Parts: sequence; structure tokens; C-alpha cells
Amino acid sequence: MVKNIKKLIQRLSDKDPSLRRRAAEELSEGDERAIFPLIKALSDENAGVQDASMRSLITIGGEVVGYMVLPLLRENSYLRNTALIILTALGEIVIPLLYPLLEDKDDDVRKFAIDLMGDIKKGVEPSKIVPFLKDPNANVRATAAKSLGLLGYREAIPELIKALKDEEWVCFSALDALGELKAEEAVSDIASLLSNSSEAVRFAAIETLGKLGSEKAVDALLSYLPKASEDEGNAAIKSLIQIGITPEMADLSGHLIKMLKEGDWEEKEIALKGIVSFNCREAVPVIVDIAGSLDPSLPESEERITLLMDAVSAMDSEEELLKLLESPDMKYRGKSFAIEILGTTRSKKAVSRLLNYLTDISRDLRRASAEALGEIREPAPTEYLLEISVKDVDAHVRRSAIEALGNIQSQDAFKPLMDLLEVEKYYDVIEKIVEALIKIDAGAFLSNISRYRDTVREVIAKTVFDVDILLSLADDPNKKVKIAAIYGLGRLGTDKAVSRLIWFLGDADADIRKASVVGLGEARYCSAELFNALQDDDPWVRFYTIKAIAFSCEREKAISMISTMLHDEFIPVVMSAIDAIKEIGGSAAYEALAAHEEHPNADVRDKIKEALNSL
Amino acid sequence: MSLLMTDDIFKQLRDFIYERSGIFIPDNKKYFLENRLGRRVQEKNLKGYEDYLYILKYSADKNEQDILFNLVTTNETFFFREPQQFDVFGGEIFNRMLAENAKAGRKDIKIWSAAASTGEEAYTIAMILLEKPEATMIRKEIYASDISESVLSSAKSGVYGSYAIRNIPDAYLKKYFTNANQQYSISHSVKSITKFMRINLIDDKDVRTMRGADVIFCRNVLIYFDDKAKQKAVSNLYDALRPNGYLFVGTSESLHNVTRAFRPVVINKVIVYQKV
Amino acid sequence: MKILVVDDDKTTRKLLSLYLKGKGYEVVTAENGLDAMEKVGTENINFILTDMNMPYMDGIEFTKNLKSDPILSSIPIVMVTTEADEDEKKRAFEAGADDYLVKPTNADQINDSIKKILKKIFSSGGEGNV
Repeated sequence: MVKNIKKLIQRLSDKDPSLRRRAAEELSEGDERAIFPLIKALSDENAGVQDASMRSLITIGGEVVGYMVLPLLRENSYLRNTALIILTALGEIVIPLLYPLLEDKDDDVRKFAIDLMGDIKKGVEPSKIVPFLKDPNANVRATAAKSLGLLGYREAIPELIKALKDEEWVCFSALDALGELKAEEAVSDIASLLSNSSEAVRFAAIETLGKLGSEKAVDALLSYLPKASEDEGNAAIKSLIQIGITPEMADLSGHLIKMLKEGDWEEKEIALKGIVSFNCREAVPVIVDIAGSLDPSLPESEERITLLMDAVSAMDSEEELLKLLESPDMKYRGKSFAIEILGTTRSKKAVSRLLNYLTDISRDLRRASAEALGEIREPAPTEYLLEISVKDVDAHVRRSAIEALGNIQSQDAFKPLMDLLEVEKYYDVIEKIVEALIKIDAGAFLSNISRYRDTVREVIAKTVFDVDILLSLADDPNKKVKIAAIYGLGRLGTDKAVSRLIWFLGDADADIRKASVVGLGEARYCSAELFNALQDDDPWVRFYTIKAIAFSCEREKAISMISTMLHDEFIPVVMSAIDAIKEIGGSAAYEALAAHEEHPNADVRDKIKEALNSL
Repeated sequence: MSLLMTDDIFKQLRDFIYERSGIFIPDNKKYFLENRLGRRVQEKNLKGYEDYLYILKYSADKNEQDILFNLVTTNETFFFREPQQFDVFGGEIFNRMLAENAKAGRKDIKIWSAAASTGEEAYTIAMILLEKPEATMIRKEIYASDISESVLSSAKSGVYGSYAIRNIPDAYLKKYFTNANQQYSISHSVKSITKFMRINLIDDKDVRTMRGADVIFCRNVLIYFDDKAKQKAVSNLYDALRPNGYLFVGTSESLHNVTRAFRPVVINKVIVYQKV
Repeated sequence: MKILVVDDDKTTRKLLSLYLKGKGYEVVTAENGLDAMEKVGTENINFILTDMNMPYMDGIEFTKNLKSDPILSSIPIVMVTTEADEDEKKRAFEAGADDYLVKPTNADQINDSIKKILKKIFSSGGEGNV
């Protein structure tokens, strides 16, 4: 709560707009006294002040703001629209205030109220909107139809079907709503609109049939196709593919490629579906081009690229992809996309082409080519990959080349990789070298491990599954190596490994004890020593012990041991105990947690409450 | 090998990231977090995302938060990314800026690169200004900020691989870089007018340290925010600009349904937002 | 000819686009006045249909902005709105709108308005960039 609310309100009429804006912003922490001055400030001459006032009103929120903003719906269009933004943001709480507006004389006010209900959704009684499908004003009727769709009110379907006979504008909204509601019962009424005189209505009917599916919809669309105009034809094909039907048509691929090129993303997805089922190879360059135009740093791109890749991989596209690699117009992202597919589809024909790309100026292409060659697993590129793995300026490219060498498993790579291992600086590259050497010749590589430097031994401890090697590395003088080996023993979980892990529980070093506890959890081994570790001086040892017990021990015992930790002084330990008990579940878990509902720490209390709810 | 994340942990991680950074990860993007964080969890020798969450929440090591933000927002950054925007900045916007500053009696230029990452954008701006004869007598300050301390330290070092420099015009490359072993180091003249600082764009306190900027670049950041965080960040950027100052956002971003406090100005098909 | 359709309602944008495409025009859409200002700057727009009630920047403000721009002011703009009120109509014309249509409207009515405005521009020798 702000202290000087009066001063801030005064400052809303300061000469300096930046002070007015600051005041409007700070009033977001004000109480009801701030509401009216902020509403007045919505009409400030400065857009920054207007904006801040709007946001503060939203932040203050509540029924009073809603009530006081409502009259703005009758003001000029700027205030009206600002009121709509505020009311939408206030949400459910304003719904009761909107019902009286439904009776308003002003057509626009009725329309606004229904629009808001469709946008807010929560707390709306949709049956109260249904009568407005018969409002004297067509805009109100159209909005009512739209909102009923948004609200998912299937009970309105019969009324919406009647609205299809209303004038064009309303009919269009009703189609939208029926599509939204997946109203299959409306298919025959919608199909009859295909002979409507309005082009817009016919078009919307075609699209809606695509959303609804069903055999009748397919029949209607197929019989309409020969009569359709070009745009309608495209829409009909889109609808059919959406339903899962590929119509038999000679020039379908042309339609599909056009849709793929020009459509929005949703249409592109539909076109892809058709293209794959049709094995339409002419579309490959277009797909690659689209993939190349997506910026991989945008969050949605990842998903889209995968989708495009799946489509190309599902067709016999090898020849097209190879041709594209020759094309000088193709951008590097498109090329690296094509290369990746040639790799996953293990195209032997691509090998010689990919060798050239190993020295391309673009890092992405070098890297993609190295990876693809690794997937294809032809031995021929070994010497080239070796050169890249040593000489490339980019460590990512080198890493990919080394991984590829591991996949190809050519003996010729063993010696050079051993040499590289001695000098390599980057940890993640060392990991790849170790993995590759194990794949090529584990016996030779893993004999006499002590000759390797610390980092290499650590990586080996993280990678191998051999109990004797891990046991010897667990005694390594280097602590990092030792810890990695202890984790490794947990990964193995054999008797020999476990007894060594128990032995390490007595180590003087907390990190070693922590590692052995984690290892025991991984090995699913329950023992008295583990219970003792709950009393360890180190909080993170206790933390991991809880998890190990939850993983490894029998329910009742685990709950009784873990619940002793609910008063640990270290909060993460308590949190982890709650999670562990919740995870185990059952009535014993519930009782154990319920006994601690009054925990002194607020976070813990919340967490227990939440856990109890979910149990 | 990718680790799988339970829905519950996803929600907790997502909330954590959102509360601290404004970066919003929608419900259907769990795989996105798995992709980005899986390797980090393995590097830290953790058993899973849950343990990672505990470390983030309770461990005294704030470094890890930094690394997390960096992983979640990794952007492709290189010099002169989206060159049309820099053309407009160095042309029309620069001229307007000079004229307006002269009128107001200001003798300096202050540019803020608000999501500087590893520094390519800030250094690009610095080079453009250094190339302007009209600006030789004017004090030039470029501020580069990021939410992640770890990328800033890399930015400060000013050393880049061949990939980051691929769009730099030759003349600039010769003049402002020294090349050793395919590693390109940016010159002192560029570094000396560029200052680095850690700023979280949704934190008012952080942003308050930036005032009176002539131009702000905040590209490809808002896409990571939900509406609420976007509004907050944009409002903070607004306060950091001088009156009539300009804001560049990413070419796939727009403010048209975020605020009316900025007006789009379109110059050579490039959209720039002006504070009103 | 490329027409910009400005409306915050998705369904209306779609319907108006269909009307216009059916009459052979190319269509670009925007969801409010600010979005429209961006589109006008980045696309080569010859004609605009705009709604009046839209968030962040309404049709009146957008029209005023457009008509105060020395270059863009030559683009004709038709207000398409639910507001049948005479006062609103007056405000639209004062802001610089070239015509005013009340929703619900239809393809022919819109096309007539477009034709009428273009005819006027050409016969008066105005320099519309159409």
C-alpha cells in the first residue's frame, strides 16, 4: 500500500507528463480512492499516462473498478475501447455487472457485453446469451453466435443451426461457432449452404465442414469440388485433407504446393499432411525453403522444423534433397535442414556431397554434415572426419566429427583419436572422444587407465559400465574422478558395487558421502547404513538420502524414516521429504504429512497443504 | 540422452523462471525446457530436474540462476543481425537524434542494448556511431545489459569466432578487429564506449539505473514474455527512454497489442517505435 | 489493388477479406490502428477499410494519424462500423474518412463504395497512389 495516496493523486495533474505517468503507475498499489482519479487520467493528453492509468486500474482490479469503468462504454471510442481492455482483464468478477447491459437500448452496449462474456468465459451463464440470437440488431445476433461458440455451449447448437438462415453476416458467425463446437449434427444444414448465393458463405461452409468431419461432410465436399471456383476448390481440398481424405485429382499437387507456400502456418500443416500421403516430391524444395526461413531462436520454430523434417523424411525425397544441395540459391539453414534429413535417412548417395560441406564456410553446414556422415556410417569419410576433428576452428564441429567417427567405428580412427585425447582442451569434446574410442576398441582403450590425465579418467568413470574399472577409479587420488566412479557404481548396482558404496558412506568427505548416497538410491538398495545417513552433518547428504530411501526402501519403512526429517533445520531437506512422502503416496503418507500441518515455516506449510490435497 | 521431466516439476520450474525473469514457457512447451536444461542437469551430476529446481531455489549459489536464464533464452546473436534495422538506425534515426539533441542542448548520445547477450549488438551499434563523422565531437555511450551475468562476462572480453562475424562488412572488420587464430578481438576504441551491466527487464529497480536513452534495442526478448511481463518490460523501457526516444524490437515482434504509449514509425519498411 | 482490412474481430476480418477477394482485390489485415500503421508502412497499401472500435488505437485515431501524414494521406479510407449514430458518422468524416458504412454490410455495398471513391479521385485528378 502506498503511503502518500493524496500526493500521488495530486501529481496526476502535474505539468510534467513523466511525473504524471509515474504517479499513475504508483497508484497501482493504491486503494479505492485511486480509482476515480485514474479513470480521469485515462483521458490525459499523454499516451504514456493513459497507458499507465489503464494498467494500474487493471492491477487494482476488483468489482469496484469494474463498476466504475462500465459507464465509459458510452463515451468516445478511445475510452470505450480502453474500458473493454480493462473489463476483459478484470475477468470473472465483472460478469454479474454485464447481465443488466444485455437489456440496454443501445445496440453497441449489448454487443460489447456479449463480446466480453465470450472473451472472459469464466463465470458466464451461456444460456442467457442464447435469446440474443433473435435480437433485432444483426450485429448483436452475430456476436451472440460467436460468443456461444467461444463458450463451448453445445446446448445452443439447434438455435445456431436456425441462425444459418439469418442474413449473411449472422450466418457467417454461426458457421464459425458451429465449427468451434464441432457440431456434427449440423453437417447437412451446413452442406446445403454450398448452394448459397453468397460466395463468402459458401467458402465458410466449406471450411466448417472440414472442421466437423463425418462421412456426410466428405460426400458434400467431394460432390461440390467440380463446381467450385479456384479458391473454393483449394478450401475444399484443405477441408478434405483435414478430415483425412486425399481426393483423387490430377492437379492436386499444384493446389497443395500453393497452400504450402502461401498459407498461414495452420494451412501449411494441412498441406503437409496431404503432401506426405500423396508422396508429392515436387514439394520438397518448398518445404526445405520454409524450414530454412524459420529463425531457430524463436520458441515456436523448434516444433515447426521437426514437423517439416518428419514430412520430408516420410517421402522418398533423396533425389530432391541431393539436387537442393547443388543449388546456389538455397540458404544455409535450408541446406543444413536437408543435410540432417539425408543423415537420418542414411543416404549413401549423399556421402560425397557431404564431404565437400565438411569444409564449408558455414559452421552449421560443417556440423550438420559431420553429424549426417556419422548417421550414414560409411567408412569412406573417416580420414576427412579425422582432419576436421583436429583442425576445425569450431569446437562444436569437431565434437560432431568425433561423434561421427565413433558411429562409423573405423579402426583407422583409433590412433589419431588417442593422440587428440592427450591434447584436447574442451570437456565436452573429451567426452565425445572417450565415447568414440570405447565404441571403436574398448579393450585397447580401457587397458591401463592410469596413463590418462585427470579429466580423461573422470570422463571414463562417467561413461563405462565395467565394475572392475569403476572400483579402481573409485580409489583414484583425484576427487572428481572418484566421485564420478562412485556414481558409476550406483549405475551398475551389482552386489560388489553396492558394498563399496556402503563403505564410502563412512568417508570423511561430505561430497563422497553424498555421491555414495545418490549411488545407493540409483542402485535401489535399502540398508540400515542409509537410515543412519539421515543424521549426517551435511545437509545435502541428508537431502539425497531421503531420495535414496524413497527410491529403494519398502513403503511403510520409507515413510516412517523420512517423516523424521520433517523438522530438519535445512529447508530443502524438509521440502524433499514432503515430496518423497507424497510420491510414495497412500494413507500412511497422508497421516505422516497431516501430523506436520502446523510446521513453523510458511513455505513448508504451503507445500504440505498442497501435498495433502493431491493425496 | 534426454531426461524426462514430470508435469509437476515442469510447472514449478516454469513458475520459478517466470517469477525471476518474466520469461514465460507455455504449458505445451515442456520439451523445450527438457531440451534446454537436460544437459545442464547431467553436467551438474544431478539425478533429475527436481534436484536442479532445489538447487535453484535454495542453494546460495546464484550463479546457477544466471546459467538457467542463459540456457532458456539462447539466441542466435551475430554482428549486424537484421542489417535493415541498423541501416535505419545509422541513417534516419541517427539524424533525427542529432537534430533533437541539438535542439534540447544535449551533448551526448546514449544507446541501450537491452538484451545484449554476448555483446554483438552493442558493439555493432558502437561501430556504427564511431563511423559517423558528425558524432566525433559528441560523447557516445553504449550500454549493454542482460539478465545473465555469465553472457556479459563473455561480452566484455570481446572475442568472437568466425561465425559471429560473418555479417560484418570488410571495412569494419579491418578497422575494428584483430584476428589471431580465427579468433577476432574487438578493438579498444569500440570497447571503451561500451559499458556492461546486469539488468532484469521486468525489475523496476534494475531498470531505474537506465534513464534518458536516445534509442533502445530490445530485440527478440519480448517473445519470451507473457502479456503481463511484456507490459511490465515495455513500461520499463518507456521510462528509460528520453521523450520522443526510439525503440527497436525484433522483426517478428510488435507492440501493437501491448501498449499505446509508443507509436510505430516506419522508415524504409523498418518499424521503429517512438515514445509519445 | 491491395486493400488493408482493420478490425479487432477475427471473424469480421475474415468475412471482409472474403468479400474483397471475391471482388478480385488483394487483402492484408490488421487487428487495430497501431497494427494498421505498421502495415501501411511496410506493405504497399492502396485502400483501407477500418473498424471504429478497436483496442490500443481506434479507427478514428488511426484515420487522423493517416490523414496527417503527407504521403499516406492520399490512401482512401472507409470506416466500417456497427455505430449507426449520426454523431459518430460526423466524427469519422471530420477525422478524414472518405466514406462510412454501417455493419452488417455486404460485398456489393463495399465494392460500390470503393468504386465511388476511386472514381472521385481520378475525376478530380487527385494523386491517389492507386
